[in-house]
Amino acid sequence: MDEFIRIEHLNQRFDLSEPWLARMIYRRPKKFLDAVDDVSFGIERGKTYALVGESGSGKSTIARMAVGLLTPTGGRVLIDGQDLHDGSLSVAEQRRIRQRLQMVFQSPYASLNPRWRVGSILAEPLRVFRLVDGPQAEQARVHELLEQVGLSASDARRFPHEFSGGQRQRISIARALASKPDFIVCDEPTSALDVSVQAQVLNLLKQLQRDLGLTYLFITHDLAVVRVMAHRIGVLKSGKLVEEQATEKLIESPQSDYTRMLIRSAPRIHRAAS
Amino acid sequence: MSESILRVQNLRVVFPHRHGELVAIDDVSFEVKKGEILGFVGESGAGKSMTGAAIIGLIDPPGYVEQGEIWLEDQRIDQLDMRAFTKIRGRRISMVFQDPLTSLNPLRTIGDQLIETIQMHLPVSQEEAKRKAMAGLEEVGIDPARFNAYPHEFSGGMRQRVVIALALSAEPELIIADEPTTALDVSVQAQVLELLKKLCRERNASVILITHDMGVIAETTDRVAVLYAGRLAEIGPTEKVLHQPEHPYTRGLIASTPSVELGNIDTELFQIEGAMPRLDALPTGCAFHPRCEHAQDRCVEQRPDLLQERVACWLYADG
Repeated sequence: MDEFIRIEHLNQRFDLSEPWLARMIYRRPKKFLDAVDDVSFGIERGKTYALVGESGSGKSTIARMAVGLLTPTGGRVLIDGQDLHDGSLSVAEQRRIRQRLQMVFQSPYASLNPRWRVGSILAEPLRVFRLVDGPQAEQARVHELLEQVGLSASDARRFPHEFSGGQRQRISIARALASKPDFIVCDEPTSALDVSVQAQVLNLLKQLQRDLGLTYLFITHDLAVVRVMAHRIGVLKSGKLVEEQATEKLIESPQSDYTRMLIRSAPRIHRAAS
Repeated sequence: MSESILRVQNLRVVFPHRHGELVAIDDVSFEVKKGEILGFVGESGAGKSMTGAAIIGLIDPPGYVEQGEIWLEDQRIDQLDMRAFTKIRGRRISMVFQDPLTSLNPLRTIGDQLIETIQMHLPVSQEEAKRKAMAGLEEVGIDPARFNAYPHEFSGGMRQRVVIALALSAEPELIIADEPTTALDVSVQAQVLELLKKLCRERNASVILITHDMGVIAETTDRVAVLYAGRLAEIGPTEKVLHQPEHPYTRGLIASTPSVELGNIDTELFQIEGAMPRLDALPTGCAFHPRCEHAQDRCVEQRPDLLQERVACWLYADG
């Protein structure tokens, strides 16, 4: 087992207490919410791990901690054995690690700057991580990225609003690929898209994984999508991992009642005669 | 049973635009039978919601119904003025929207809102309205003790139940449910759809269920209409359309929907290339032809109409 990322006893506690004065006057105790509660799992290099669960189960909170956007209140995120959050990394090391971790967000409408041309959106990570020398190399890389996700080089001159939802999500994927990452967190990447377009984007993600050896953490509430996308699945409920298993095994013979309920509730076109 | 509650004939909705008109709905005809659940499925921009809005007289200006007729039993309703329409909207046809927070008033209790709706449409006293409101809440599975609670005190699924109670409170004959469960988790979605189905069966009310999810269509509806770029691509009994889809678009939609029962990591999903055309750039002939693998010359030149009231595709023209 060659694990790329290991998550150990991860915890995220949010402080929901009332302001200090109100607590003093009304003698209310502090209030906490454990959004993520002692979650551990690992993802093998080049494989896809899916976290499924309903809204509020803590899926996205884990995703944000896995790429370093949020600091856990307990536990560790190990990338190739290095702790992402313990502060032992130098600024330069942190930068190098972050370059390898990227994220694709749910809404391609909110995650692309509407005032920037696509070319600038894709060039930003190249500049930040100093990955190219000079404008020509930059332009060449931008064109290469666009073609990699099924768009054309001339699209670099256009603005995000000129694209459809599916195309915008391709741009988000290209931006994530710009820094040559090893690991991409896909947070509900297709739930804002129509099914025919969803299929295009999912197929693209799978093809990129094959071509580039990417490791994915795939966040979704849709078990049908997970079935064709993930090697392993973790089921989350109220911040706790209730079950974790290889994809087919989990769907064919779920162990927990919660997983069974989720599978049963998934709407299906052809329900096996029952 | 086979009597129809709603008949829509050759509906055409247009939006005036700098360079002419955008046709949002084009030549759509269908009927809804009493007690039936008719599904409208299609991708964003197909005209599903617009069809619903046209029926209930809520198309946002500058859009308007340019052509066609809408009949509610034997009353023509597409030409009614605002005042006359208020006797129908909410009373005989009601609506459930996607986001329950936008259809509930956050400043008033749900009980208040139910009573208001009931008294607006039915000639009943305050006590009678309250009794009805309580009964309505109980029917949708909400404890009547929460009569005086505000919308924010409920979860998303519970709020949608309140909205359903509101929609049913004036005992309408037709309910238009526009993506009623899209914002909900799957487990809650299943409950809400089950509830909607059950209540409509009990009251013999008809439902137009608008959704983008073929799975929801399969589990809920009796008949289904597939819309593409403002036109009907295919319409028929749900069983038939889902098991023997005829229109290439319907086939594509079904094939590209992942299934929780089939496939594995090596499965390549079927994909329809391209995207739904924008209304200002509709292709000639059949609007689907640029994405269709069976497109012939005829599809580029000539627009197919609904053949045998089932499918709008030249593939079936000679059968």
